[in-house]
Amino acid sequence: MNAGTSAAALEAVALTKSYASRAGTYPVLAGVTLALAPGEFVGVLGPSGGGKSTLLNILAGLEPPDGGQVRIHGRPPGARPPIAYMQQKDLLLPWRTLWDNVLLGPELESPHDRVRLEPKARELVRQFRLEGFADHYPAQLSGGMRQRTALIRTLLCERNILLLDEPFGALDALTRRRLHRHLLRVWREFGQTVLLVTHDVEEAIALSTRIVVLSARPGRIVDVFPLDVPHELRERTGETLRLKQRILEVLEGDDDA
Amino acid sequence: MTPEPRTASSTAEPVASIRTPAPAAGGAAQARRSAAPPRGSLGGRPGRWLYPLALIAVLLIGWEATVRLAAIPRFVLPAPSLIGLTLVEKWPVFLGHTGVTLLEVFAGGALGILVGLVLGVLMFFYGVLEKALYPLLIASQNVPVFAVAPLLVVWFGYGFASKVVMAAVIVFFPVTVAVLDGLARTDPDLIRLFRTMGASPGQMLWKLRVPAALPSFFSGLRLSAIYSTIGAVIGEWVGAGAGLGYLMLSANAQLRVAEVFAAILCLTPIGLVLLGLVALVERWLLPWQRLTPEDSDLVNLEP
Repeated sequence: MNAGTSAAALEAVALTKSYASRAGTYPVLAGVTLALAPGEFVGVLGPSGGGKSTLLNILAGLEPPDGGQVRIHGRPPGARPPIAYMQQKDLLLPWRTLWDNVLLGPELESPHDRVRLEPKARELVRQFRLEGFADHYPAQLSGGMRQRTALIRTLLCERNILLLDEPFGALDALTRRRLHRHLLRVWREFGQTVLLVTHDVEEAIALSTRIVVLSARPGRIVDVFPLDVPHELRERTGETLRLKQRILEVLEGDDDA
Repeated sequence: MTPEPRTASSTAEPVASIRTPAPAAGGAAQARRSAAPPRGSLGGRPGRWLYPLALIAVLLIGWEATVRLAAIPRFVLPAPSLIGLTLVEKWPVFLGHTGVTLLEVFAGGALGILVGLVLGVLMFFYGVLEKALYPLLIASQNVPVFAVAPLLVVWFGYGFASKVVMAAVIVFFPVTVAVLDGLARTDPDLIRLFRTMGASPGQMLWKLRVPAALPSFFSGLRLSAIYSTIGAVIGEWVGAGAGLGYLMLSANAQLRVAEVFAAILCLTPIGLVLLGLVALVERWLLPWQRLTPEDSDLVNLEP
């Protein structure tokens, strides 16, 4: 653990993972090494079934890797790593109102935390335009509203590392763009380290400060694209279009192999 | 850790924009509601009761006419009017026996639910117990309850206790299965979510598994409301000195068939009331179960 690695907020070092099936074992991750600097927003692109979700599960501590290790701020993760994890399914608790869903993380932490974070929750609910829906149950909300609720819940966990697994995958294009803007605003405000897994190249380009392309199974990193263009300008520069082209070439090239 | 929110700068914009569309959207939702009442609203109510009531009336008239025209003796099939008359004339008798049966149904149901709840929870927590007990429970359900009933009378006597046990014996099984199923079938993704949030085992149980199991538990309760009545009456048939089942049996033996029908008439509401009670508690405890986006105040404020 030298000084260089401890600067990273989240690190994957030579992660390998295989699953056993009836036909034998098949490798899912073949040595993924990736370091996220504090406050960095990294998008992970790759073909479906390429081990993207497995990577996130390992980073979140939900599955142990076969080989390699995860480091958080230079150290192996403890019992409660400072990581919040959000998936494509909103996973709201149907028996809780929007308000009680949003405050689930703090509530599990301690009653005191729940009280402390209520003002912040109120603020986020308003920012995400869910005011007036606090006493609604998830069944009464639309898909976009549910996903925003899940995002607020993730943010209220007060973890400085966010793992997002295709969080907007099930939404229509317009709703997704709005949620992108919400997410960027929150990220600028709080400066979390974000790892976003997606299969949508445009989404990765719209949000990330760096894009990592994963290969087909077994997953390994085949290319890395830094993005220096400010987020607001990305839709308007030819540079982004060329980047999209290059990323697609890498993705499709890997597909043929 | 996390920086403080910059409240002043970032909030001014959405506040202004959220205020304007809200009343318009609310108005639109209201307009839609008054135009076409959704299912289950007051608009649908009369039809829901009218048709079955009309059918019952038709059937009763047909029954009455058949009995009178064909001159069917009253010890074979009494006319509905005679059944009603019997009920009115001997109402204190029927009331007394209904009370006895009602008490047995309640006590037996409660006992069965309690046993089912405890068994289901224990089997969920102790996998060995589940593996050992579950096949036995399934097998036991193939034994007709009638076969057990005489034994229960021998063990628990002709009185209240044997009926309560009889009802409990029928009731506990669906409740056990419902509890076990409900607890075990929690969405694994939700369990992972709670794990990443650092939930303790106690929180995992009380804030996730138990609320997630409640709908299943209530399905079990609905079955128990029906089974409990059956259990109590079977218990009374096999051997009793009071209750609607006893009344039916003794009236039948003396060919007072109108009284048998009157007893059946007293029995029916017991199950219905119990079912209604379960539904009421369920609606109160689980208000979220029947909701859809249609029930939102501001349907059109999307996204």
